[in-house]
Amino acid sequence: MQEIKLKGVNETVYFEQLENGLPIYIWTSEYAHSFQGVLNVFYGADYLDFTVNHRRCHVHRGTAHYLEHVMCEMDDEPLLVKFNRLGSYSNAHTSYMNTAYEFLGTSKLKENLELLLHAIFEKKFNNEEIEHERTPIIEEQRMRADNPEILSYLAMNDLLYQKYPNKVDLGGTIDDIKQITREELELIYRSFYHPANMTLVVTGNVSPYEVVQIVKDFFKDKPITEWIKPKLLNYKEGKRVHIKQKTIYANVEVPEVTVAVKMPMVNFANYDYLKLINMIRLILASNFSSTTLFKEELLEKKLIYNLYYSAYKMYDYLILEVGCRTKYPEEMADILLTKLKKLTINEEDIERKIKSAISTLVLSYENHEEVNSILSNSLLYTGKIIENEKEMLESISIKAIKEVYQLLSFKEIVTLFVLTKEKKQD
Amino acid sequence: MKYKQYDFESFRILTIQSNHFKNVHMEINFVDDVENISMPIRSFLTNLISYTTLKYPTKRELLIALEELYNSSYYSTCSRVGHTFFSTFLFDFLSPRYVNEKNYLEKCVQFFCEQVMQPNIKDGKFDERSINIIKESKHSSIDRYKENALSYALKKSRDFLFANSITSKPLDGTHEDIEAITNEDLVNDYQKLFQDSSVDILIVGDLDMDEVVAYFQKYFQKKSIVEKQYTNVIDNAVGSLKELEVQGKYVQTQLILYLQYESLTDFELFAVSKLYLTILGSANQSDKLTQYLRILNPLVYRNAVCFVPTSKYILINASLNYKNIEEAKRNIYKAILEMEKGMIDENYFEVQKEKILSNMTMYEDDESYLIEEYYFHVLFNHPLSSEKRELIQKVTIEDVQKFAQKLQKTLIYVLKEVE
Repeated sequence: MQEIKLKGVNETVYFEQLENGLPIYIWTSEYAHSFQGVLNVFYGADYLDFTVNHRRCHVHRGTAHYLEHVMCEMDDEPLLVKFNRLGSYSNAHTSYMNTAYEFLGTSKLKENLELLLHAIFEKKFNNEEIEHERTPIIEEQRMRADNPEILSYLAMNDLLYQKYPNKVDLGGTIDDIKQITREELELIYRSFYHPANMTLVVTGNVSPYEVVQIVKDFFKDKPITEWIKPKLLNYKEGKRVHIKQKTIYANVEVPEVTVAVKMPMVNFANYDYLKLINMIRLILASNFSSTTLFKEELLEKKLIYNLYYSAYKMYDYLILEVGCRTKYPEEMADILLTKLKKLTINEEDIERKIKSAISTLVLSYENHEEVNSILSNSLLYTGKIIENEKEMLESISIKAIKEVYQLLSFKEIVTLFVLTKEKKQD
Repeated sequence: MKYKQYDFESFRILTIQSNHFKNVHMEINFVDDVENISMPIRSFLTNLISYTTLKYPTKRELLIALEELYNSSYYSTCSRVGHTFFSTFLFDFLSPRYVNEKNYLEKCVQFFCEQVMQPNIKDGKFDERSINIIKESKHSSIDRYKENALSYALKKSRDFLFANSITSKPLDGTHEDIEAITNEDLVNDYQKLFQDSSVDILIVGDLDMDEVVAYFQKYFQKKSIVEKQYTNVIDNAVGSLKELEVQGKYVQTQLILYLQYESLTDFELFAVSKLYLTILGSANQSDKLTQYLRILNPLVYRNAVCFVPTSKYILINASLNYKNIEEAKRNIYKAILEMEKGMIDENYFEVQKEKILSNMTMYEDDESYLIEEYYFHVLFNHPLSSEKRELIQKVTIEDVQKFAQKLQKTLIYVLKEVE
């Protein structure tokens, strides 16, 4: 078993890759009273078009989420009920890029792991359970249709992207859900639910050797099949934004305005992604966080109730967002846009925030659920465990931040207004 | 883990020493009777004290100081437990064992105490800028429950059922209450906070507790001695069943059913209730409600059950399509009736008991949970985990049946989806 040393935080992650391709990552804590296992499948709601064995395939939006529900149905009783019988909690969730199945328990590690592996790798589909889940899934989507945050997220995607499919909710429309077939679900299961397209991360009061042995024993009599990696359709998203401005009406009590910028990741080809995103977030924090005069003045002038900002990668593009809740959305849109185009770099502020980030990093290795989330996300977004995050943070210099700043381009900008439904009626 | 209580004349300190945590968690709780204060003013004051101080007259300066202190976190909350109101100031910081800085722990305690002891008052008045910002923030957040169908249904049904009770009174008050709060009210309430409230300081972390307590003695001062018994339950009247259906503006219908009771024994409150709730509606899909509302009859995606012992009620919620409302009601009644008749499989009962004990074990990883449990043990005589475990082991199906029979349906509230 390989030991991955996390420099600076004095932590070790144990790693073993099985013959069938399944990578297992384990972090142990002698103080924890419980453990968590998360099996992450690298198939998410955005992967609608792909080629397998030269055959072009298309599935309805919502298929990944529907499959997540069906995977949690078993012959005699739901998977969650089976975990409950072990005294454990379990859940599953779908995002645009992945589907995750997890359990949280205090005892019977072997039974918990075997149950999870059995549910995922020995799945038998039947029409009855597929049909059974259709109504609850529709109700879940109806619940999401009322959520202003989800509506705002989808509207922002519609502004930013011409081709990416993430402008429709990950669960699909009600019509999509009604049309999803058993064939589509089985196609996704066959094509993507292969051990080589997953990660298993186990954290808590466990022995790494025991975890690996349990998983090896589960697979020992099972044939090893080669994974024919499906080729995902490249949506060939253009550099331009789709629509420059949009207003939606939702169940918000106070209007919101968000300004976002789209820039190609190729502009930053020479940078390590993690370091890059940290540097960009520091630039944004230095301009928009609660330690800035900018935010303080806006609050004092009663122009805003809050101010939020983020930087993230969406496939081939880097997105910077700044937004607020305000009584004056149009005025604030202008103010945010002007500020975004004239970002400044406050050296003292940035150096302090780097030290803060290091402290947060050390603290995060306390709770095994948080560690599981850090490891799983790191594998999902970067394909590896980050061994030197503390060193990376310490190595960020003002000079490097200024260089990144020079690469930022503010040509492709969008503005989203989220107004109250009452306003629409006016 | 070592539990210890330190009693001083005007305040007490409860500590849990544990090397399990990299974080240190501290709280200063000011405790008062709800009837003795104005909740909107006290709530406003609590926010104001944690917003700026004499030393850090703007929020920005305070946040910079926290970042410099290894990204510590200082904030406040208000809560009401029955008739008891808590103004709580919380401070989380990196354990001294990870910091190579002389007097770091003393510096942290001094910082924390100063925030509460030295508010932003000059010439007998709080800083007007801070007041205005908090006022705006309260106005904007007061109606946010309307942004979510379930939150809206919960608030409106509670307002209806407990119209004349503290149970339905929001801590922040109304827009009118907030607008009416003056600088003078806040200054007076600050004096009252130190004069009339009792103070409990809670600490959990990997610290030498005698050392940290000595720092609190040095930096935290309170002159008045307050000795009170606090009540953590509101005796809401239990009436006959009412049904109320109102038109909502949301996509999905919300169904809420209230079950109330007159009185429970401590055994029922701390042990039997846990099994009742788990088997009725929170056993991860194996519970009766999920069986009848989702597994056997696919009517809902989400249902929930919630126990509010401080106001003596249990509520059941289902989010669904309006066309399924009658079928859902029938199935909820069926689940409740089966609990009243004690129709519970014995093996399943034992499994759920183990599950509850397992959950309690998981909570031991949470320092906030540990210290709160210890605090409520001292303040309200609630049992500690070890005692609760023993009580839970003793619960029988007959106990759960008797508990179920004490519950009375008092309100069915339907928030109908938009046409």
